[in-house]
Amino acid sequence: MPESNAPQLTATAPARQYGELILYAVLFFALVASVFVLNIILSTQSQKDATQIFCATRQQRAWQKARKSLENAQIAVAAGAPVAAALAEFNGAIKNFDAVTRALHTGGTLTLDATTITLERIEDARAAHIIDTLYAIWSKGREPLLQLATGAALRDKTINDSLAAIGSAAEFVVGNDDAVFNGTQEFIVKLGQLSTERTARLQTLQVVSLVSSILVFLFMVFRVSFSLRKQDGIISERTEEIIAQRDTIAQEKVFIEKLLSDLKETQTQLIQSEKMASLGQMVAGLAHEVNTPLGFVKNNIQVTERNHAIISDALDAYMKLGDTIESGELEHLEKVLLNAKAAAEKIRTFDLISKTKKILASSVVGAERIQELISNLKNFSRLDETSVKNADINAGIDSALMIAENVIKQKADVVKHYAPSVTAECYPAQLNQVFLNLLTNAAQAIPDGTRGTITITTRLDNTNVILNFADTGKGIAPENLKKIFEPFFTTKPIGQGTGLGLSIVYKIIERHQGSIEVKSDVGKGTEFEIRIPRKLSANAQLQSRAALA
Amino acid sequence: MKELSQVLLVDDEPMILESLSNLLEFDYKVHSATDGYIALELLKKHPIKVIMSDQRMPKMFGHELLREAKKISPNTIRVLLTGYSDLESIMQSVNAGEIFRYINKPWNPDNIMNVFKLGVQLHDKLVGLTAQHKAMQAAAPAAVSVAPSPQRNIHIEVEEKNGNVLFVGYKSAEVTEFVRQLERRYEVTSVASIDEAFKEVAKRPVSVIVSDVRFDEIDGVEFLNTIKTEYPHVVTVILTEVMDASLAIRSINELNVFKYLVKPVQKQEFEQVINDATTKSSAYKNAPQTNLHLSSQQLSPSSRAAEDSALRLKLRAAQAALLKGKS
Repeated sequence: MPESNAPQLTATAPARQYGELILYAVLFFALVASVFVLNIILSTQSQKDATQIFCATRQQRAWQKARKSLENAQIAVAAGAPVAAALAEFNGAIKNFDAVTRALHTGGTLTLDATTITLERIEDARAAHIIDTLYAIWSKGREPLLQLATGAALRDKTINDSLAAIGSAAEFVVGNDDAVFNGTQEFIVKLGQLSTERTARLQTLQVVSLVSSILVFLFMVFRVSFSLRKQDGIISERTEEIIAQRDTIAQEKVFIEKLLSDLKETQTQLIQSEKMASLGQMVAGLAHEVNTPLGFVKNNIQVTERNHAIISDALDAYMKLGDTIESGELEHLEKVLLNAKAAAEKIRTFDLISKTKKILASSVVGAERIQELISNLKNFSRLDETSVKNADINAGIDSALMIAENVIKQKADVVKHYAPSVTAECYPAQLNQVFLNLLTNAAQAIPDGTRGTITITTRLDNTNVILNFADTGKGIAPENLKKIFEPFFTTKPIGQGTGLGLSIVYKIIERHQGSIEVKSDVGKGTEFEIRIPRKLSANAQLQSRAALA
Repeated sequence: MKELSQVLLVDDEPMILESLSNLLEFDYKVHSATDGYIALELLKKHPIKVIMSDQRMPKMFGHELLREAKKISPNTIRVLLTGYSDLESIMQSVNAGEIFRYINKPWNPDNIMNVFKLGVQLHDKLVGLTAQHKAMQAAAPAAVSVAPSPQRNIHIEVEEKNGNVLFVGYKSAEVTEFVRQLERRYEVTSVASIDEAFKEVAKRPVSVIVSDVRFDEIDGVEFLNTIKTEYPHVVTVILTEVMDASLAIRSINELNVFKYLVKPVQKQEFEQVINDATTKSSAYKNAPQTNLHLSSQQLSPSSRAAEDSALRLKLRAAQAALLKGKS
């Protein structure tokens, strides 16, 4: 059953294709997003680096400023000039240096030029090493320098003491100046390097993401266009299929139409053949019924001819006897007399005169019987009446009984319960056909070799004629009972029934706006009850006329 | 005055009885009955030579009555009067050997007179044969077995081959089974055409012909009648596809056909028919007076195949050709 599987296949294929597309799209967007994320990371990192470098630069400057101010303070002390200004300057610078160095070393918040800067500890090991070294150097001289810077070390001291304190501080500063300066320099350079490195790395990642997103995009485009092309192919294939199917359907339509018209023709032929069959049955019945009187009438004519010859011979002989007596030639008298007696002997022996009269009378009866049969047949077929007529239903049933006589005679006794003057407006010939079909069926339902009864009842109510045909035949099985009015349904052997008889009965009753019901007991018999209105409506007349035409 | 032969008419229509009685009363003492039971009673009481019954009667069908009549009075010649629509039931009686003649309604009075005349003659002949047979059996039962009697001849034939069976008008495939089956006991030949059949009957002593009745342009019954006129001992069996009552009636009336078989036929049944037919043929050969058909032909020459018919001429030609070949 490939036809039924095909729709399922086409249903799963797009789902897979869409799944694939969604995957590509997600991948593409993830890659693009990663580029943005990287960019953000890059910019924040750059900001951090810039801050760090800024701080490192300030650190270096603070150191330089501290050294210079310390030198100034030394000179001032030596010159005996006030040192406070120089020391204040030194104090600011060294504090700045200390704050920056500590922040760079351990991370933290510091305020530079009224700006608060948050720093994290340097992560990179190389840079961290430099700052750690710097911090270690600074840690050694930090306390005295910071004391000096606050001015506490110089308070209440002599110039010499102050000079010594500044000198030792200067000694430390100068002694470590190179190391600190180089360290800060190196740190700045390292930070710059690290920043560049990181930027380069992130940029590489960005490039990779971009390139791969482009690749994914291109692949997606390729896949989509490929599947679209495939889809196109399938669609055009489908279209061709549909066109082909449409053509087939068109052909089949023509074929079915032809079949239908053939069927109609066959149906017409069958109805015709059913008509011919009932005509044949009619003819057979009539021929049989006519042959009997015809047989004896024909025979009687021959017998009458023979008797006539005998009687006329006898008459001749007696006339000759009379002539002989008249003429007086008496010598032949005895011979003539004997002749005449001999000629008349058969007439007397066989009582030919009265018998001839009798068979002539019976011939008349025979001829009348034939006439009756013919007029009955005419009654039955009503070929001269195609219009609605108020017809005597009892007479119609009787004419059908006559036609079916040769079928019924052997099988059944007919019992009639006729209500007087049962008439209805109807198409008499059509109803007679109904009666014939029902009576024939009734007779055929009685098994061969047995004798049954067919009971016919007619009665009237206010609006309807009610006819009942009951037989004592073999009955109809319940499963067949529903089907008996269907065309072509028959339980008779092939060739013995067209299966149209009862369907025609049904049609005719329908045309008369009547109803037909059937009751049957298997083994006991079947009963048909027909109701037709006593007055036929104008509508039904029209329909029926159309059906006749 | 010589005593009249007694005949019996049966019909449920009294006017027919009256009419036929009038026709026959000069020559016969006519009894009449309106149904089968009355008829059987009359048959038991009177020496009836010919009984004629209508087929379609209430109470008892004509062919049923004649079947009973055969049991009560076997030598009575039985005639069936049939109507237009009796053909179906007639077929049942064709093969039972119950009926001498079928007469269709409306009948021809002259034909009725002829059938009764012939019937009475045949009846007398049959009675004579029966009496003779009884006398022979009573007088010398031993002599019969010693003398080369008919029975003896049949016996000899049994020992060789039971006789010649000729199939006419069948395709070889149709009858192969039958031919193979019969070959064990009979000489069997199968020919397709009537011409070949004439050659065969001229050449060899055919005892049974199994034939179809439907040939192109040629009437099968007439063909078989031609052969039977020339070779009265040949027993005919019709084996055909069509159940045709009018053909069956003709083959009884004109041919006294032994059996009218409608295909398909059971093998056993068929062999039995052929057995009976060959036995009958031998009986005809040895005692032609038992051949009812031959007797009726002799009594009433009109039923013989016409001397100058085309078929008769063909048969004569076949016989002549064979003689020439031999000399």
